[in-house]
Amino acid sequence: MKNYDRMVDVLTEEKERVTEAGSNRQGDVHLVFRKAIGPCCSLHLTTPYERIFGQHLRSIILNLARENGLEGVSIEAEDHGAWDYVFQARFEACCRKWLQKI
Amino acid sequence: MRIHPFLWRSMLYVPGNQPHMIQKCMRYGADAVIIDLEDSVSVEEKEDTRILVDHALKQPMWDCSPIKTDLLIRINGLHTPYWAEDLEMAVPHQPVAIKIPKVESPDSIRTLDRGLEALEKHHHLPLGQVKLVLTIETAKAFLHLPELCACSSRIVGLGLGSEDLLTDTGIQREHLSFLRLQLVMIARPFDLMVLDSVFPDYHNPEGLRTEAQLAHSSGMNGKSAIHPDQIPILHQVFSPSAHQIEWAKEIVRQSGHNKGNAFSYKGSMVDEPILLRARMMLQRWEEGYE
Amino acid sequence: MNKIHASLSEAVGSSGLKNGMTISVHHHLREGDRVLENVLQTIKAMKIGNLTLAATSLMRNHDYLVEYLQDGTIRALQTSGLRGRLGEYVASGALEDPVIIRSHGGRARALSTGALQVDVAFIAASCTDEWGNANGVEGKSAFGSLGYGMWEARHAKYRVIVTDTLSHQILSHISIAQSDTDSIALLESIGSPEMVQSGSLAPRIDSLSKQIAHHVVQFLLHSGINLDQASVQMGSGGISLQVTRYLRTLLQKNQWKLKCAIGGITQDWVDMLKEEQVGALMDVQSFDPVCAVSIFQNKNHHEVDANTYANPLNKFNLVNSLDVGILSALEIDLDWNVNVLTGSDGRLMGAIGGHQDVAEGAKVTIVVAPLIRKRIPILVEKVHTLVTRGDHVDVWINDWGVCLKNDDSFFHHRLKKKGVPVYSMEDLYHKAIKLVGTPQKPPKIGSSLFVEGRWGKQA
Repeated sequence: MKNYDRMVDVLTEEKERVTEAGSNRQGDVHLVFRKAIGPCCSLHLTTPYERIFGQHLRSIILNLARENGLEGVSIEAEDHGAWDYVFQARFEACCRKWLQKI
Repeated sequence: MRIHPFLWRSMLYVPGNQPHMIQKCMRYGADAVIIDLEDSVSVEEKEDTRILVDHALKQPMWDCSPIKTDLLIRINGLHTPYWAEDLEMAVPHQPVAIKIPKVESPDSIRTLDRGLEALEKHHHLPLGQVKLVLTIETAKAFLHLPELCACSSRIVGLGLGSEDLLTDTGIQREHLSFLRLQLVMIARPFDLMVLDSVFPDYHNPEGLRTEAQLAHSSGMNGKSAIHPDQIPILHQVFSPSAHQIEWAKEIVRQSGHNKGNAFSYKGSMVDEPILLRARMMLQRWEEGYE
Repeated sequence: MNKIHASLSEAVGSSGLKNGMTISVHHHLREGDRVLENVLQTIKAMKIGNLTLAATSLMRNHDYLVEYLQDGTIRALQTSGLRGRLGEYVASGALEDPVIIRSHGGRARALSTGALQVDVAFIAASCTDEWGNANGVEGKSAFGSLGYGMWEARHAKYRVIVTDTLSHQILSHISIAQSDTDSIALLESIGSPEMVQSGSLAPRIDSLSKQIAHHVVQFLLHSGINLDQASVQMGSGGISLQVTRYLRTLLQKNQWKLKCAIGGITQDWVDMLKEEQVGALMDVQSFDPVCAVSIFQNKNHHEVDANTYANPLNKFNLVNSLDVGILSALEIDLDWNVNVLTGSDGRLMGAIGGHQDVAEGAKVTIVVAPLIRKRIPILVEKVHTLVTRGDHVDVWINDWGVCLKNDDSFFHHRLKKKGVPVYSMEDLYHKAIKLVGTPQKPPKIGSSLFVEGRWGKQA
């Protein structure tokens, strides 16, 4: 019984694991990492520049995820006009916190 | 009176956790920008902000300024756990100076100086290149002022942190001039610049002008700003003196004779950075259309 | 000779306006205009439709035109620009015929050659007398120069002066003579003259604009251009307004005097005229209601029509006398072509105005625009919509510094010597890509627009 309870606790902690970086300020991006269902990374991006930069921003985030060896992470990104380096910086910050929690 | 190598009439604070402000800060024509890792950044954001500023300082937008704007970085206080990593991040970007808040102990400055030297060596930078500006914000700092001024050859200036100082001492605002004068009196023999603190109400240009004029008449060299609209007022108040303009003209003239090589002027070495600042001073004074 | 009609519908009735004809309006009142809406309401009520509306320009407040396009009152458009919901509607391909976009000089040419034939021109005037003499400088809605209206009046078949002030004395200032008007319609109000400052002339000047303005002044000071007795056009927009303000201080400091300022005139220019920092203002469009008073009172503030301003068939036009022309841009490409009509996302959001005219006429054409606006690079590989050809552009000045088309030029050497930052287009292009990446190309507007060059062919 004890082991089963412990297993549920661990699974719950894993499911609730969240790290974030950035903000909703102008020129920033708010990134949230959550545990995904399954081994792949998923990305949900909202940006006011979807038409001109949607693809570009998605590829930045997914490339960073691959470079950092992220697996099983659900990434939410709410962009407020961030330049590329802001995406890189916020991803690095979020990723550090995520990997520390493993 | 010594001519300081830096012309910092205005020093614009830029919160390090606000990318759109970092991106714009070089545009305003301030003599210096101070990227802030301290008071404008919450504890929760300290590490993320350090990463953001590190990335930001690698971008090409730092070339974009109307007249070369000096970069300073205000790290967290030496009594906090953040300052060492702040310094490690900052030094490779070769800021002109590091601004240290809440300075009290000469020993802590000496420790910082050694840390800076190690980082400069590690990154193959000229030793002593990164300068220091100390912010005086407590009565204890005032007590150690002469020792603080002498404890490192990197120190080029003292900043007055008036809000914290008034809180620490219980002194009323109307006596701030006395504190300014004290700071100037102690800094002068060490040939240090003295910089006034911010005027927080950026909707009050006349209030800013009045305070800046008080600071200027107290012998201060410049003042911090928190909004770009404050910059032109500070430039008007802290314009170079006739003596400084004469100096700048003479430096530029003599550099012509020396064909761009370093030379000695009134006992001081004049090399490329000094010549550039002399030219900047003249350019700002000559153009004066803002 | 009684030209006065009791109502707009009476005036429309006497004009002989029928289905399928072309009507025109000017945009001197900019976003404060109420004439066009009144005219269209009247026309619709009279069940006249299928018209071509040839406006000198269309602003954001003309979004209501979508309804008139949808219900068939208006079938086709000709203008200098499109914005807002109207722009979106046009870009969606809803119109059968492409919208013809012309510069002010191109329109003047089209009117003079008959390429544009206006059946009825509805010309807003702030004051008219009973004989039909009209101006824009008197009356309760005085807005300034009637530059575009004047040329319309010379060429339209039937001219309706729409006013809210009828003078019982003959006007002392006549912009449009009675021989060029056919009827007068009185409205309660033709619009809000204080809105003449609206649109691209937002008074707030941001830090980006100030920095670019600083570089412009550096360029003007150190490039060897002789500002004393120069003729200039500054354009609209925050950057131009700031350049004008810096220029004012420079002129005073150096005791220089400009020969004239041409084109759109702001309050700064009126003040400079009073202070004798400029010899004359050649006003085709007033960007401030104070211009109305200035035109009326100051003999050196001249009201000029679109033909004098920029008709390419008029070899003595004013743009050909420009020493310096400053123009804005939504995009500029590596071949120096300029787009002022569509954003990088393909949305219609601007107007040609006098862009092509000034670019071709001025001795030195300076385009002012930042490298990056918010997150959007202004410097692109190829512009989305070609408005002004790169052949006519000499300098691009941005928040980084100065880009010269001709790297070996006299300017380059002088600027470098004075420490003015000079960059190549390629260098800045790479910096922009590093900062924000390469934008995806949005779909072209294609057949919804026909951007005409000032000489009549496609731009």
